[in-house]
Amino acid sequence: MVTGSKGLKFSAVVGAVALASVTLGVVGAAAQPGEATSTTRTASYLHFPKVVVWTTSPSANPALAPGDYAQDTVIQLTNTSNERVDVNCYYVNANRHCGGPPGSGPVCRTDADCLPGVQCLPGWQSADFQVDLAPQQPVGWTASTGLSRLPCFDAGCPGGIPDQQFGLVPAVAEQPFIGELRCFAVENDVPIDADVLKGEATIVESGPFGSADQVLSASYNAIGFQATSDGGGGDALCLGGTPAGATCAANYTPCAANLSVQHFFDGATVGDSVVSTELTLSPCSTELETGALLAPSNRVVALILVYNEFEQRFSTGTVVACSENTRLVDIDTPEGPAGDDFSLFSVGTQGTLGGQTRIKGTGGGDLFGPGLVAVAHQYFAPDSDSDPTSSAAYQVNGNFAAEPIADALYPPAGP
Amino acid sequence: MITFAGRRTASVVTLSVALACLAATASAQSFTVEEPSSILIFPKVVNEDGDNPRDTCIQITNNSNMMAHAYCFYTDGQSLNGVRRWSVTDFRISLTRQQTTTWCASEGRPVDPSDDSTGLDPGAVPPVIPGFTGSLVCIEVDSPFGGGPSGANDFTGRADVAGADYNAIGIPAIDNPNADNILDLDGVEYAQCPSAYHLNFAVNGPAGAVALGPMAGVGLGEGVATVSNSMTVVPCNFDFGNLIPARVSIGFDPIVDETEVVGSEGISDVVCWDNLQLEGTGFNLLTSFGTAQANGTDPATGSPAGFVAVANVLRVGASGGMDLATTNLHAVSDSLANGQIILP
Repeated sequence: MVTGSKGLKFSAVVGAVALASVTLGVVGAAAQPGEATSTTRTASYLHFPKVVVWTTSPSANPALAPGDYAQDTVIQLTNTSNERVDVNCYYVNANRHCGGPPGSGPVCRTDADCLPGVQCLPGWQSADFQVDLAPQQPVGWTASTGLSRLPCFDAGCPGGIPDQQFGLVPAVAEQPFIGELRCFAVENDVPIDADVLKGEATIVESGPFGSADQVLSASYNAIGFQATSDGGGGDALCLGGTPAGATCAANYTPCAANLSVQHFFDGATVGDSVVSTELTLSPCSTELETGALLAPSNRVVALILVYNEFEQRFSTGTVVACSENTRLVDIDTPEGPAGDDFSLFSVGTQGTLGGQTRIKGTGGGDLFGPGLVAVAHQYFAPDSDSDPTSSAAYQVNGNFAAEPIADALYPPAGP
Repeated sequence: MITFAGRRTASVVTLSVALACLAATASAQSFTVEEPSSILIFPKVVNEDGDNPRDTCIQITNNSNMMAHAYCFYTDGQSLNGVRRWSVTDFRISLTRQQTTTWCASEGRPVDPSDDSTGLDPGAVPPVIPGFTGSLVCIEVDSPFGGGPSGANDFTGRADVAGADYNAIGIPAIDNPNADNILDLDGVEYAQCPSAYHLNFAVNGPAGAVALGPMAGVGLGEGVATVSNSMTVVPCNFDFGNLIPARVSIGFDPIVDETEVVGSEGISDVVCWDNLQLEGTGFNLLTSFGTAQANGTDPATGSPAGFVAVANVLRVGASGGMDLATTNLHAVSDSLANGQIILP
């Protein structure tokens, strides 16, 4: 996470980075495929780490300004089985706001976005909804508008079962929006073993606002957690094991023990384009308390090793408290262009086009685990001073240890 | 990776049980786009010039703390007078521990410490010819100068096709591969290939773009005007030894829209490599989104056949700006088929 107090947080992780140098470099015996999260297998629980919205809506605060790119995210969710399935979903709003919680001021990224003397403060909120998916049914929506009713709400599905289909998808709570979406199969609100869900997100951008001659699109698959066994009547979705103090409602495959991001260094000229990359990190463990302002219930320290093509290794770290989307060069420098040239993720610092970044989450504490998920989002521009002309998202690789890490997701207690 | 180390003193009965368990486990194993593997398949590599030039940049990473070697094969699948070239170019790379390497297909990567491709050169990577449309397969081997297949499962990769990225499809080794030049993707030596995938899509044309907002009046400024879909397909058999192109037939059944209306789309025969435009009548849905199951069959026998694929979605803006997005596909559970790679 990059905040005004990042320096303090960063110092807290420096000591641990040395440990990371050892632990990240040693990959344990890999779990067999099928025993880990996957973006190419249907699953019971889907995690979309990056959902962004900033459109021409009059409610956007701040509104789009000339030069900005409008953004929206198309979500596609499909039931691949021949049985109906209910799905509980949660948008997590990871915005920061000038002066405090949502509604208190405009959305911001740093204090510089606010009036003098006003701080840009985190304030996470979740919003839940349920969709009832018919057999083999795909559903799609834009995060900016949602769906006021499901496709077969009125009179059942003309091509399938005649039952009326219940559920709706709300629009995201505010704009700009940056956050995530988590969905899992349920029966009577209890998580179930139903590895039949698949999902994709496409981030579409249009701009620069005022001229709008570019369209950017970047797609990624939702990260899927397959069910492994029923729980013991607890309240958590346990991923890979049971964190200390947790009780499980259902058990799923684990998060990766460490993540491996293959990327171009920022500013690298690849082909005819200059590349920059955003990385979204999100804790596997979290608490989804609907409608309540969430204190960050779980902070994960991300220990980071960066390898370039000279076999040189560098280390840094950051703290992830909620879905955190940041440019690579802002992980170890202040947000914004200042200091970017000296970042470990800058092509000028590394001297090679490409690199590998390995990320290991630690901490988490009681009830929570240290797992992280991620998605990378690249932008391509003709030169470093030009607007992007293309974008692409891609899945982050992972290594799964023989002894999986344990995480837990806590849905709200219920109505 | 599963081995039998430490079990040598076990009784014959125990070994039999272990073998049975191994077979059961292995049969469920398939490809991965997240975890390191011994075989990487990049199904879409293009180097197109002309009015809309497109290049492909490849990144391969050694995830281990030991040096790792790969034997790689470009296969040119471009069509000349309706016939696929099936022209194969091989090369070898070696990566030090945790090393990643990068090159663009149009230029390759010569061994030249003084060139712009800084970093440790992995070996001489040849450029592909202009007009190349095909695939890249890299197989982990135990020596930089030859040697047999290695089952160390060290490599991950990704490709950037003119601003559209996908992860290389990894085929992990399961048991230690034997030293012959035939790699069996049979769930015992290496993982099997999927023979069916789930494909989600926004429908072609303006209908798929409606969901993107601008026509609702609150959206992306001028926004997206049209959508078009395609799927790049490569059969899961590669005979690099005898240069015999593989074939797979692809059909889409069922195709389902958001109101559960079910359709299908006929068979396309893929020889070596193809980019299938998903524009048949079966894809003309009445809703903005749909899902299809892509099924691979052997053209000769009609039995399920393995293939690898990525989905491509081209979005064109109202002002003519366009961008392509490429994604890996979801495999249909338990739809696996054997494949084979024959090395020279």
